[in-house]
Amino acid sequence: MTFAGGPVVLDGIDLAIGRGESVAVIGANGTGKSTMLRCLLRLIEPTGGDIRLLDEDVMSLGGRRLRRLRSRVGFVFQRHNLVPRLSVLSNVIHGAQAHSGSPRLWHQAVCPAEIRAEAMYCLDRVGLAHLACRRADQLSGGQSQRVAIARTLMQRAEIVIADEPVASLDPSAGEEVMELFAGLMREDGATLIFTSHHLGQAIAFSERIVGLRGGRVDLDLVSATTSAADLRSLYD
Amino acid sequence: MTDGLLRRGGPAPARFERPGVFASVCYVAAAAFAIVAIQNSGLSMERLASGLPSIGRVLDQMFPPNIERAVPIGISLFETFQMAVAGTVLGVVLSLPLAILAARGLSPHPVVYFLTRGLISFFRTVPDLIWALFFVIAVGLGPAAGTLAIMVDTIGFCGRFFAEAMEETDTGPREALTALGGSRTGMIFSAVVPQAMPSFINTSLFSLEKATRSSVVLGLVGAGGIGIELKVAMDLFTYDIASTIIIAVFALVLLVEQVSGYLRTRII
Repeated sequence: MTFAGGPVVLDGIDLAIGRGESVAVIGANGTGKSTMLRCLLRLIEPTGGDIRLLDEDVMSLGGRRLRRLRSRVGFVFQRHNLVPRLSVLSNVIHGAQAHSGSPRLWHQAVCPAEIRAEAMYCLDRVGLAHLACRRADQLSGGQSQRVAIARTLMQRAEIVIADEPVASLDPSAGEEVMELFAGLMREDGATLIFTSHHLGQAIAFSERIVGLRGGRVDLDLVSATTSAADLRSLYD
Repeated sequence: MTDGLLRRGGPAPARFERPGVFASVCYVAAAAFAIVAIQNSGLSMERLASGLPSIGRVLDQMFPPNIERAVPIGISLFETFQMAVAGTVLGVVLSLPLAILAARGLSPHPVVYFLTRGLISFFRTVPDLIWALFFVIAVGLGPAAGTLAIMVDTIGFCGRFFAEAMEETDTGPREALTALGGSRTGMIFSAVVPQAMPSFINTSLFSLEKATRSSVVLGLVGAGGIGIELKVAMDLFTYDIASTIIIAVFALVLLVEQVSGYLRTRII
């Protein structure tokens, strides 16, 4: 995988992740973690290789079929990526666009009652039902990320990919959000793939740790038998 | 701080970049062209001085304003404002789909992007008075021609600014909706339009102000509104009636500007 005219970003990544598994991807800055996650959904177009996701050949999909696959995979971004001027409720309702193209899912004011109720339930699961009417740009970082998680819950995704989901939060909020996030994914039986620079969190919230170095898989360990010291070599 | 420490950073760079030979030639040529243009316009202090008595005579006849035609002037002014509102509303509504097609990153295809950009540029570069002449021929004299001219002019103006506003929105929410498998239309109306809304409102209100001013002039070519009243008053040398019309237009434009300024601060 290369960016136009640039160096190779990912090379020879060979990785299989089972359903329901929880995998942390770690590595120094620039090792291709975020690129790899985006390639899984072709948010970045890989220049070669094979990607199979939920029994689909991702590289061969186009248009509607690619959208259908994406609808089964949630993506939580480091910057939360909420629509700032809209309410928390509208942002969560957007998650339902994974399954329907109805214009009634563009804004909470025109949304069908059952979808609104489901969105409120998702907000309740992340502890923010009381902020449903607040504008997204008036939330704290931790609250924003919880809303982004609620949007993913609304999507009812089978796999959830999270790109440094708590990197922009302070350590205490980060720990809290990560615990909530991993707990919800476990409850729903979703496969979780996340990147993190926080080795403690990577070990605590995953069953398996994959380490990248120079665009390649450098280590692949079981979290339960791994310590932070075992992973430090990745950053040397 | 010692001299030694001060010298460690080396000499400070020049405050201004020295222009190259080509840039210098361009600056001199542009200045020369501006001077020649002013000379060729025929403006001179003598002509201005000899014209002052005429200006004074017209101003003398303009005041006090004659209000005996206040009712028909009021009706025409209202018709002018209606033209401005109708043309702006239609223009703004039609601008949105065109702007989406003309926004980089939202347009479905580069060919569509260039065609819509070209169309919007064409609407904008042809002056509204020319559009009014065209629509007077097409649909006849009256406010319909003026409304259509304002509509096309508004599309040219709003189409460009709406497209630029959408291009400048944060791409994060777009990526989030794309990642969850949402449709392109859903992504645009859920993630892009809400972010660009303050800019849309600002541009639309500015368009209304612009349309109110230009709807006065459109009457001069028969496209409805108070312009025709002003032309008749000037042609018949009834400057006192003309001054009533000018004051009424000034009041209307001022009112629209004040209200739109208020709305801008309230909504945005």
